[in-house]
Amino acid sequence: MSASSELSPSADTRQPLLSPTPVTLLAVLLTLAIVGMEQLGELRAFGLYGLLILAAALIWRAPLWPIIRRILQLSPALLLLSLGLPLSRLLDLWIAGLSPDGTSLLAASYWVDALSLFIRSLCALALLVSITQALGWQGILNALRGLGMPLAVTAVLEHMERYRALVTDEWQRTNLARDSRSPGGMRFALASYAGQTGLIFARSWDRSERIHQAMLSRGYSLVPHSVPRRSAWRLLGNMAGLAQLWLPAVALAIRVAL
Amino acid sequence: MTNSFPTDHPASDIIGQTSVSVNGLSFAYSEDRAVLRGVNLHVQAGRKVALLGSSGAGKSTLLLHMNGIHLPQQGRVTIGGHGVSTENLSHIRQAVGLVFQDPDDQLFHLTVEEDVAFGPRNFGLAEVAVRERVREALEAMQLVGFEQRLNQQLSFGERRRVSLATVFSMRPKVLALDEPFANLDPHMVRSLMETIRCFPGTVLLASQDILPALGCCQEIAILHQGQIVAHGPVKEIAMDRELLQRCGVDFWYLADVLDKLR
Repeated sequence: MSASSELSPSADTRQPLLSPTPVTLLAVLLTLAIVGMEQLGELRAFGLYGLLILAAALIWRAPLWPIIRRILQLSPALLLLSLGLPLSRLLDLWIAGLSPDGTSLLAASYWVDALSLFIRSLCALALLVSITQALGWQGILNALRGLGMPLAVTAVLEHMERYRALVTDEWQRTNLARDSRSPGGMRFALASYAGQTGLIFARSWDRSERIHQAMLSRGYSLVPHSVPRRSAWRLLGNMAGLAQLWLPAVALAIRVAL
Repeated sequence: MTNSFPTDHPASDIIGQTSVSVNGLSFAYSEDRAVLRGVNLHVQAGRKVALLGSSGAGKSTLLLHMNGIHLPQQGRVTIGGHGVSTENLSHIRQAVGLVFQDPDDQLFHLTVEEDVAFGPRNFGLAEVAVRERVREALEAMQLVGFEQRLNQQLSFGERRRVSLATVFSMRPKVLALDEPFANLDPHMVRSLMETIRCFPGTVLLASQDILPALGCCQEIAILHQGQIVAHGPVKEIAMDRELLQRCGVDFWYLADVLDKLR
């Protein structure tokens, strides 16, 4: 049995209240609103976005604990990335031969920008994890197809997710093989990571060949085929109903942010 | 397993002529790596043939020729009298269902339904027909209710059944199976043997699990060092222990084990 993924709940779990297409569209818009904010200016805007995301997760019936866990797992990486700006500035100063004496040499705006970037990326991540938990990857792909995304793109996304699951599975198997022949511990794990990565890359290469053969054997000819799109009228109906619920909140959020 | 295999087929020019013929087939992956050396094999329509051989004998490579994944470098492969070539690949691939050794190679979509529908959609069937094909293939493999399950969350045996369903949904006339019994539990092996026995078309089955292969096939062909060295009824070939030993597919040591148990 392969390892199941937190980001890929089985499709027979809870069903969201709304159909996937409007939920996905809303998530995309909200993510754009969060990421597109100009400046941290009002911290309360982030509070509002946080509440919106929480409300969205509840309405979409996304399980909260896996969302929180995933955010906690990824937040150190986001923090590190956000600190890139002030840290690179410090590095510039150091290279220029100036000794940074506290915060005076580094404008406070750098740190504010870093904080803004961190909170924005955290909000966007929370939203994306929520929607993935609520709809599952397949649900999101169906929604994207419904919204008119080219089939070639959704087919690639679908195969990427399947590939991710296979690579994760192989990574876990090689971990087990390593642990079974070592005393265990982080030191041995770190020493073998490079080799494992190379091995998985090589195996992936072979596997991609075989998968391509399997696709060809079932008539694949570089033209992706998929389920027909949802009816435009149904989509419009969904959107109209959803707009009544969300547009005032989104408008308020954008107004506060600006 | 229920085995309600559909019998009609869209590739009308191949219906009823699903014999498999391989004449003088040679194939090499590189100049110094010849895998098939003048293979000759004829399988009559509706017959089930176990293709036995040790590792590296060329079994998988030969099966890849059945479906036109590899095209002959020398020699000729014909399915129902039609030579496998780039011109008729579409017909050939509808007629010959190829099941790969590792289900993870075969299943590249997220859900079972999408994977089973992949073949019929590629051949341009209307969505209603695709759904019908998916339903009957899942029924044949006792997978009803698995439609929205994620492939990565299935057990190995379930993934093997889904692999077969992905091929059955194309209503093949010839089934080419690469190591179908590998890594399956005994119950699943019996189930799969029954499925193969009940399949109405021609079967070419490459395997190192000799006993199950013998249990569901009528003929044995032995591939050794890139050549078919023996082909005949199961009883005739299976009793020739010297031949089996020479080709690395002897299974009679199991009789010794059974004797010991007695």
